[in-house]
Amino acid sequence: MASKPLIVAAVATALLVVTIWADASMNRTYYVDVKDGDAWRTVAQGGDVDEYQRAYPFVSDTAVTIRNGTPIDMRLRVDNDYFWAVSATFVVSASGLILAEGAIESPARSAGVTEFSVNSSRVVSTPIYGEKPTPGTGSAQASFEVIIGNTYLYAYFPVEVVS
Amino acid sequence: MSEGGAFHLRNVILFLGVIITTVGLIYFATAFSDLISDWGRVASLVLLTVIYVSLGLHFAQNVDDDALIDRPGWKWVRVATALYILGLVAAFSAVISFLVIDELSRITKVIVTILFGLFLIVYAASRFQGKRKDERAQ
Repeated sequence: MASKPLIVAAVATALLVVTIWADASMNRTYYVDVKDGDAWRTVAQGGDVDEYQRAYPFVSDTAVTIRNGTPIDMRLRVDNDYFWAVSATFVVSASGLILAEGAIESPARSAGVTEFSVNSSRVVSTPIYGEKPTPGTGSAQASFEVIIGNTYLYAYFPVEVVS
Repeated sequence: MSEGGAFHLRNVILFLGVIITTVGLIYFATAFSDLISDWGRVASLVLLTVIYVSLGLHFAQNVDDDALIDRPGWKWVRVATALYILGLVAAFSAVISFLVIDELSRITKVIVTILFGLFLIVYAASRFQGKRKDERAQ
């Protein structure tokens, strides 16, 4: 007959295995997508997976087409693998300015999405400091950050400004 | 290992297993921030504390000669003692993990930590006080 402390240790070990398994199988990942024509392009990813707590690696040399002076359509997605629902507020900022804010929700073990737009002139810049991008000339890039609670997503991607 | 040797091979192997488990504990606490949540880390370290202390109690109750070094002045180095110390280390790690949780305010964390610590002190002190009274009565 096992001693009482040994039984307690065995039960605690079983609970430890269950706890680690349940925690490792639960992740919450946020994505920032930019409207590129009639499709969406992911430009930032972050959350429980610290590996991509930075600008999403651009897999294509094709820049995102942006019309000069028009808002850029974006969306924030969340993949919620937790066993409970998630609800959070987010802020989009660039150069210290708050460009957009909103809320995102997702049921347990599901996904959520919310769309927003930002002024392109606030996030698009050229490699030359202080120079505004001219439509059809030179290269430009867009950079901003999306803050959801304690999660920071950084986006940095090439853009082509058209008139 | 000879019978007159200072080390008990069986208990040294046990102690080695405890050390290896401790290294795994440190690795788990530091290298899995992308897979284990803050709350999951706290729960895991609390359960490890329970495991270590329970195993220490088991060895203290059931093993007659578990001294690791059979020399005067070193008899206190036992498997049970080592497991108790590791339980203390795991508990310390659990408290630290609890204090770095961002979701809770600092006020909440400090109140919970101090009150829980005071509860442990008062409970342990009153429990031993009660046992000594019973022993005197007998």
